[in-house]
Amino acid sequence: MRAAILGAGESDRTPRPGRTAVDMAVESSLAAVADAGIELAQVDGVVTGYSLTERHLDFSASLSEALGLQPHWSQTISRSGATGASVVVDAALAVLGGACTTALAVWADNRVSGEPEDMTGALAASLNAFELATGPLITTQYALIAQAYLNRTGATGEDLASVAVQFRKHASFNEHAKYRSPISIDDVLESPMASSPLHRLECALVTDYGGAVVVTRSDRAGDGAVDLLGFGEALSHSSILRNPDLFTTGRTAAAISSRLAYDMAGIGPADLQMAQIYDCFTITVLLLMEDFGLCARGEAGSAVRAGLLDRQGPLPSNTHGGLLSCGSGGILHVTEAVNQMRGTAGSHQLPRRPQTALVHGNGGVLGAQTTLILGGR
Amino acid sequence: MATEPLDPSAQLWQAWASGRLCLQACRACGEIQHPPGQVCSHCHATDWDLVDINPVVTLVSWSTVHRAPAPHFADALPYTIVLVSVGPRALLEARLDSRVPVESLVSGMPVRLAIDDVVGRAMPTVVAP
Repeated sequence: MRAAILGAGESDRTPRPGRTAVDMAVESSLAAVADAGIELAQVDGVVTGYSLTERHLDFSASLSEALGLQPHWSQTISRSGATGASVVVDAALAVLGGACTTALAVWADNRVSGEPEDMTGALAASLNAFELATGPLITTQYALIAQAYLNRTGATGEDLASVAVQFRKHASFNEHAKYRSPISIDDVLESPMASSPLHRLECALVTDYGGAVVVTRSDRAGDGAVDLLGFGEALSHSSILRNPDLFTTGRTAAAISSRLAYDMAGIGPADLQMAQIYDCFTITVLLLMEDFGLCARGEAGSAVRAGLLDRQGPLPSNTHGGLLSCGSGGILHVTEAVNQMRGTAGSHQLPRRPQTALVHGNGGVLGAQTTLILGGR
Repeated sequence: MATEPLDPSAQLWQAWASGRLCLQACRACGEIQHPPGQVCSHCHATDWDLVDINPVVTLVSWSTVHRAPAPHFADALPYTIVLVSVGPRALLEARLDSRVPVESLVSGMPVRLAIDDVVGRAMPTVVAP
């Protein structure tokens, strides 16, 4: 028995005064329920991510109440950036385990409209005092990993930049992406340095976001559903200071999460027709591609430059523009995959609907990893 | 009578403030643990010491920061942060002394640590290749 996704929904991401994370969670949930072709009353499970800007004792309770739902099963989870992919895993476990029959998996946050007084503090909570005392940005922690990658593999700044160029090209097709003007490798390398070797155009956007999918058992799903063929999760560390592997081999726990997901699905990297890869920084994508077995160690940059991830290439990836050009929140990688597979991606629909896809979320500083393998019907 | 803080982090900051170049080591298995914790993540013993370390360590990576994460870091921009290896499962994040040129850094090279002031806080800093 497997789980299946019946439909997906996203909220509008335009910031405005008074816009709350719960508003966007409600909007995404109602859109997902409508897309799934079910009644809201059929939803008896709700799993949500957390908000960085609003305090909720239990976000899933705030959302359920706002929707007028009294679900059998509800959870709020926090797995930092991997949360968007992990809410789908938790919803699948709940419907397969019998805790509920139809679950909404949701993540929304008003990271711009919320104007938190202490967003720096909120983000700094992901680092420990011995890291913070030296004055790093979150970007710096990834930049240290990026510099080690360049030192070890001989890859270049151009290789890193090519990731941002590729996803901006995809965003140019998406009318809902935040930045749509195509950029060149030179544009990326000439944008202000954030923390070397990473430039501003190599860092994720900060936007409002909301996304939701409806998950049920595959035997209750009809022709238009997307099957969750496999999933895997793995965690290697909280602080990068405790995981030297990141610097010596570049291997992250995504090598484990993806293997678990491939094994459960009974497929391998060569069978994939699309990938939605958490792209908080350009380096993240290169390391994850290598962990997924899409190319050899040190060769991800050349693979991107050769068009591997292009809309018209062998493995269209981040077809919405990703965190780098479309919007925040790893939940959009999930909704985008479902939309492409159901043929409902609108302006940026791929010419051929993918039948198999990998969706991946990364949390912390490359610590928490979640891989989903989706299959079309 | 002053009470010795039980918190290993507080003890380490205090030792660094007194000029001592040291890290937490487990009394049971000898593992160097950084950042420090109440429990050894390797053998789970709760008995630990602060031990002096060899100031010559191996450079792992570096990044030059061009945007301050908080206002009190802005005056020193741009500054370089380095990672050095201090044990089989432990890295130390440190500032690079601004007199050391970033261009001279090579992955795997030995570098020298000394306690120095970083925005009002004494901590290990890489002072020379």
